[in-house]
Amino acid sequence: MILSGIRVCCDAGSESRLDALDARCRVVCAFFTAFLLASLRDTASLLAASLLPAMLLCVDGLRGAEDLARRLLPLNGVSVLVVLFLPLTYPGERVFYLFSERGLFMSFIIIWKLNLISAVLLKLVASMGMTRLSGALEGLGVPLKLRSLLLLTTRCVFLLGERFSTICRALDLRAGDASGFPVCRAFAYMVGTTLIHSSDRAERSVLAIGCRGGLSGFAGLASSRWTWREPAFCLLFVINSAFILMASL
Amino acid sequence: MHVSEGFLGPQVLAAGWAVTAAGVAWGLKKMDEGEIVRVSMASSVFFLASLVNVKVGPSSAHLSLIGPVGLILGWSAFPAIFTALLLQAVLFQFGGLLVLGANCAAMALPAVLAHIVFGSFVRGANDKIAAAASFFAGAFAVLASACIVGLLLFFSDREMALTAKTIFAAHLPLSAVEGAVTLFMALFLRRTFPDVLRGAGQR
Repeated sequence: MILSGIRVCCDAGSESRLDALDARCRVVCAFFTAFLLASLRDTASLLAASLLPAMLLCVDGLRGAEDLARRLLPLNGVSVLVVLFLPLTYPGERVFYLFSERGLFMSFIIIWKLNLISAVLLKLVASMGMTRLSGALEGLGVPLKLRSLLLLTTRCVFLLGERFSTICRALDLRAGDASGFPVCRAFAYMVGTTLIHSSDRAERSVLAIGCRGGLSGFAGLASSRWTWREPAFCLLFVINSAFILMASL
Repeated sequence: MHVSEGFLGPQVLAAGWAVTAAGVAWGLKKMDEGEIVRVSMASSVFFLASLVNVKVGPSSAHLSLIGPVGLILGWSAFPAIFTALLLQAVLFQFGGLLVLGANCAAMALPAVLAHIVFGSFVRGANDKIAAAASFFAGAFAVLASACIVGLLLFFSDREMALTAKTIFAAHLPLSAVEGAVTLFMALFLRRTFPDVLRGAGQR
């Protein structure tokens, strides 16, 4: 279990200069740019696109770069698998009788895009935390039910996390070396038991939320204001996108 | 089961988001306010369960539990899986935010299909049929999900056809494990708390 990781990530409230910006503006700019980055397939345009994460890092300085590097590290674990796997299955001329030349180039492009897209989305969206993200989704017209579900699930993950850790420890103590069907059965029973306990808890939570005025209590958690910074930030992204498109021509 | 950022083209990403938006909207429509807490609890249980490493033979695996999610939540699996994947992307950087639509479609569609095809058999009176149906629901959901992931890769780049086939083949042993876990879980819930198997919005 990596529950301690959940807590660290959640508590690490982004003390970033980007926090001065409206959350909706950050989400829209990030997704617009990420879609553009996903369409790139050549090195010239990717090179031009690499300026954007660099610019975002300049805003936050060294601490922001360290945080981003820490968050990008698990993603690049996936990249290693891509480098090993994709050239083996991709068509084209073989290098060392095994790796496809085009496959190697493709995996290089994919890893580059993975890092660029993730850097933009992590810096602009993931770093704002669940509460601000929920506020941004509210501003963008996402239904209250989905926002409530998001906030409640975040809360429930922490609530049930402790219980899950306890059951996992108990399982380890009782049958740490077992594998195969007994483990599948034990795991299934563990999930089933937690599900039943969570159902009991849900009944009480429904009553508690009802007492607090229903789901309307989840609305309007974050307020935001549109100042001169937001149009300037959007303009910066539009200019950057135009630059990337010019490079890809 | 997650597709990472960078693999999929913009058309496939847009299609994934469209399917997810439609599924989430329909799932939310069928879910009343009182169900939200139950769905969020179930969603977080599966979120946490997918983080646990299960020993399988000489190796170990993180199970996706798509089948049980579908059997327990029904159409609410769409918003529940969307929320869980969003949390995974934001908190752990598993998957990604741009591919969230495609990943959600690849996992939630098989979950809902498992609910529609096998749900009534799993809830039925016959224990043997329920056991077989729950095994097939778990295995089918994983294989269908692998199939959708393969199709997403193929439609992004036709030259990834062999990669897509390899991904599907790699999921065959995992589907048996997921089937076994779903079988044990369904039988356990039938004995202890059968109400939970009715699917959200139908209790």
